[in-house]
Amino acid sequence: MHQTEETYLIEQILAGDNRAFGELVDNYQVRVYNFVFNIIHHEEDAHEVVQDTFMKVYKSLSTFRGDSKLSTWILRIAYFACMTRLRKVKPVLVNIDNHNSTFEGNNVTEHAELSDMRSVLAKALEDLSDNEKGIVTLYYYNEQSIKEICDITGLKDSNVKVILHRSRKKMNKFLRKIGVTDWVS
Amino acid sequence: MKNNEDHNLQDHLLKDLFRKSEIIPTAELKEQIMLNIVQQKSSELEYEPVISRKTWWIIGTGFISLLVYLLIGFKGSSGKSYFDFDWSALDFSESVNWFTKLNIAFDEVHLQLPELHFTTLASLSAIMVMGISFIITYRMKAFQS
Repeated sequence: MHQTEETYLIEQILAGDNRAFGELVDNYQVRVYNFVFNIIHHEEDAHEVVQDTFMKVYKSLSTFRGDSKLSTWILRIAYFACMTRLRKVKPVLVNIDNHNSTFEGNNVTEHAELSDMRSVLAKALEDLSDNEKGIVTLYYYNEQSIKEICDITGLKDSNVKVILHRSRKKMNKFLRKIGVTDWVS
Repeated sequence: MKNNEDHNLQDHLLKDLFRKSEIIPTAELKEQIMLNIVQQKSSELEYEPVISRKTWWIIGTGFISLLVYLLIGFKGSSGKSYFDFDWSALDFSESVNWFTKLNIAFDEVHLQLPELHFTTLASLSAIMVMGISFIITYRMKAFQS
């Protein structure tokens, strides 16, 4: 989303336009949901954290100064909401195959393949700490730069790089072990 | 060189894995978010105090001023106020019961309202009542928040 469009959207929301906020939710809910879900791995908790995140976004949007991208700012709120939730509740791992969100694919084969991919991702993330899960998702899924990850997590540049390197290594080890490297080529 | 290629391949692999595993949340999620926003908005609109914050501050200031006035204004038959007590009597260095010393210090300082017109007294009483209600409201709001 272009910055001027974002600024306009923010102005509309601050003026009390609910539809504009709905548009903002449409633009970011998938990214925020996947980010949260990859850390928490619990559907209901992820739903609640995403709701809390957007509620906080709504309440404190007037404090957003535009120093960072809106997506970075929202992800920062989501990151801290996840960490708060994880401190309160011990996460319970659910079978990713039973996840009842709508799938992108329509045919059975594609559905099965997506389900497999999700299982693989869930397993690959299993050995990572909550912080590592968050950082690796921010980097590979949300396509945030190292600097942006530092802004989101509050960690130092060097720390983020080390965590990223370690997480990458762990994930690749797992993927190699199950022979997943084949699907890319 | 080979390490770099491996690194890029790993990055590509992981990006692909994350991208292909993307979950589209159900429509209920957005509905719930929007419902929360509407509820938040309506709860903000519901609370409209009859007396504004500014008025409460004026009342509060009046109440505190009245308390200060009464504290200074109370005088005994000898013309002593609370601030005229005998400081020298409050020498706690000696081992005498300090309750007795306090009594000596406040000797002849009695609660006696200054002579005021009825209307002044009535308005002062009204300010006092409002001041008390201000404190109660303030404490209740602080408790709620």
